[in-house]
Amino acid sequence: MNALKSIDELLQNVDQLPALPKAVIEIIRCIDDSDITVQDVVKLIGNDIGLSTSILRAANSARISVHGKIASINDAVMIIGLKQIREIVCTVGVKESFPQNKLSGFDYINFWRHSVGVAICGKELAYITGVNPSVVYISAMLHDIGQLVLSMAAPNEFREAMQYRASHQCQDFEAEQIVLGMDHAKIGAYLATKWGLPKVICDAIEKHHMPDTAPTNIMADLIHVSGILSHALEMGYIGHPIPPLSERSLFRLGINFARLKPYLAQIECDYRNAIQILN
Amino acid sequence: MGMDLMGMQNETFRTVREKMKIRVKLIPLALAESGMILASTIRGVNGQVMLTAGAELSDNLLASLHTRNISTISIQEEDLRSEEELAIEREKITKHIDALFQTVTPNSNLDSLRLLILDYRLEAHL
Repeated sequence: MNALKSIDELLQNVDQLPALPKAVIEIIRCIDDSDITVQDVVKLIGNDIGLSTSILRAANSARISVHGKIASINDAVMIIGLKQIREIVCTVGVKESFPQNKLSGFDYINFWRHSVGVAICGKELAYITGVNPSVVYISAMLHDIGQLVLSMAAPNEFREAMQYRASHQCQDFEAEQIVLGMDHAKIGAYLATKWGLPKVICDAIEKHHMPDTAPTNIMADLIHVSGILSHALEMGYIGHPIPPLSERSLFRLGINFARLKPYLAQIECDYRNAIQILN
Repeated sequence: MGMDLMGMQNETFRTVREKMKIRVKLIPLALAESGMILASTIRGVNGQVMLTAGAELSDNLLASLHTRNISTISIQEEDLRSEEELAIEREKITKHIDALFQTVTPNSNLDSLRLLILDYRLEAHL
């Protein structure tokens, strides 16, 4: 087993950490702010040409072409709605901030599909439990970004951790701690903090595998339970074993799995809609 | 008299639908047609419930859905599987779901989740 490493030790081989576009950071920062206007969002996205192009492509991905393409960010926000545009900005902005397909053997497609799956399950559970769905969506989209950082900082050890996980049938964060002396939840929270994202999101990323460590956090509970549900629905990783469930998280949220059936078809439809945005 | 006849026809239609074994089918929005019955809730742009399960799709509703960023919807369809076909499918799905849950220590909540997924997978036509 590797001795536990400090984040600085681990990151000494990384020339530059991934940077989120300024517009994405601003939009995430005010995710809880109902005062942000359509004009604010249009201006933020419009100032970044690359992001604008990606958002328009994503906004048109699921629409039926005979109804015409959305040609401007202003139209996109007006037609699709502010909440959904924020989600698209975060989905696209986060994904495009990380180098893709750099580490052979790492399943980038299903990594992002899993993130979206947790985000979609999280959003629906947030509606049911009365928590802000947008904050849950963003936290879920970011919850595993630490894996991408680990794959950049120590590619060989990270590959070894993936092999360890498969051969020992343990959880990914346990394999990372054993092989790398660090886990994706900690380093993901570190990066989110460095980006200046709200503490509630950073804490949810850090604690999604251990939601019972004090102080408890309802957002971490939601990401944890959504992760279990998305695994059970095989969103992203097919045939992966279900991770252990914190019964306390479930209790704190007041969720009863037996009552979720009316929501599953919609979760699956929303997931299919959202993964089109990724492509 | 004409109104009564129409009322009777609607009543008969409702009774037939209530007695029909229903399953859920996910379809591309492009294939959705007026008269189809929604199988799950669709939320509006601000997260409010826009349409609930059981709502009948009309041309107006479809036009409104087409403007949204939606590619897939779920509809109800008659379950035409025989008991034998259903039993075979149940066995196959159960085996797959049991494999997903094999590494976790069983408890009542995980059992609820396993049954939820089993029930849904058996009902849904993906």
